[in-house]
Amino acid sequence: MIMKILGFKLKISEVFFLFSGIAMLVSLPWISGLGFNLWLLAKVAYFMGIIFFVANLISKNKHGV
Amino acid sequence: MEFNLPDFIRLIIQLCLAVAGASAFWGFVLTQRAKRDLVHKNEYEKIVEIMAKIFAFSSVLFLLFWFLASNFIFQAISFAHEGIKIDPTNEYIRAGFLANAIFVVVFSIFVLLGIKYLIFNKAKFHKLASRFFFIQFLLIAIIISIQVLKPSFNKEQLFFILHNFHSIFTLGSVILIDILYLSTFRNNSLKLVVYSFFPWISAGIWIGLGLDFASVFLILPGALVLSPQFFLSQTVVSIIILNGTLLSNRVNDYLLDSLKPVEVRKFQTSFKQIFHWSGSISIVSWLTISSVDFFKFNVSFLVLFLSYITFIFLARAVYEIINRRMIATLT
Repeated sequence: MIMKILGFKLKISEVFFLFSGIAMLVSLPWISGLGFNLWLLAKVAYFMGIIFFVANLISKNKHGV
Repeated sequence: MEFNLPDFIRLIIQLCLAVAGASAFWGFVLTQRAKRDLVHKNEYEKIVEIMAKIFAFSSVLFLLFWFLASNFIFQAISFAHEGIKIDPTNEYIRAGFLANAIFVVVFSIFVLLGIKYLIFNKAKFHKLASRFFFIQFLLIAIIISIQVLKPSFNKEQLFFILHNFHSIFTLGSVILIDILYLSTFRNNSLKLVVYSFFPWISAGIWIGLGLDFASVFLILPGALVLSPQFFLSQTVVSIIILNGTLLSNRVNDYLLDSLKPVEVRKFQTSFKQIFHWSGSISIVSWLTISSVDFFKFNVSFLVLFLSYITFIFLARAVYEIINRRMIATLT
């Protein structure tokens, strides 16, 4: 599945990874307060990214590694 | 920076184990793949030999440093990758070395046997390669996981296991990719097999970082220490994710594209620059968060971050030198 964000074509796993990376950076200045929740959310998004990344790889290589 | 020898030696041990573990794991996967792709049998055998050499080199280095550490020095402190502090006592580290001793002995016997077959009987080595890599991966997984051993199994122990184990899939695999890229540079038929395998190693790296994230959840929020090292680790982890998403995934496509005839290539040659930057960022980032694990830096975040950026530029310069030399040998 491919999404178009700001003119860039991104796979759904890339959207999750991008969100994760940016959210982790943004959360740092406020990590001792509200930022901590965003930091946790970034980690959850990362795991979602992995699921879609691996699913995409397996669907491309149905015969496995 | 507070530098001491035990920390440095434990870092080298972790590094060697990560590379040996990665080469054993991916070597095993490659041998399984080779069974289904008989057309490229010769190429697979050559790549398996490269993997075996990387494995042998890192294993011998590990055994040397492990012997040194277990017999003379092993007092050190440990930090989580993400700067979230948790201090195993020396007693736990000592217990880890003791528990590991039997596995290291078995491992070293297999290493010697592997090297013997690799040098004197290649046919037999290839016949046994799959089993050899599998057993060695299992042994390394145990050794790397119980480097710190608590008297009882609890969340902290699970943290140490996951935190050490993930290095096989992250740091080890990143170094392995670089070595495989450089070792197959001159041979297009090897490149075809190796490059098509890189997306799977990338998946391994993503999963490895996920394991580290999972380990951190086990010790939160008590172990969260907002030090400059924590902020550096978090920033570097974010950069790894962004670099992996925006560059590394496209690098895999670029590498496969570079094997096609010039007229049908989608990527421009200038993309090679991006590829080299991505590689430099990746290797320096992983080495940085691994070093932060073992050393204590008494400097500000800005100094740490500027040092990290400097190392990226240095790595880029080294890539450029190696690349020019390799191209010169081709022409």
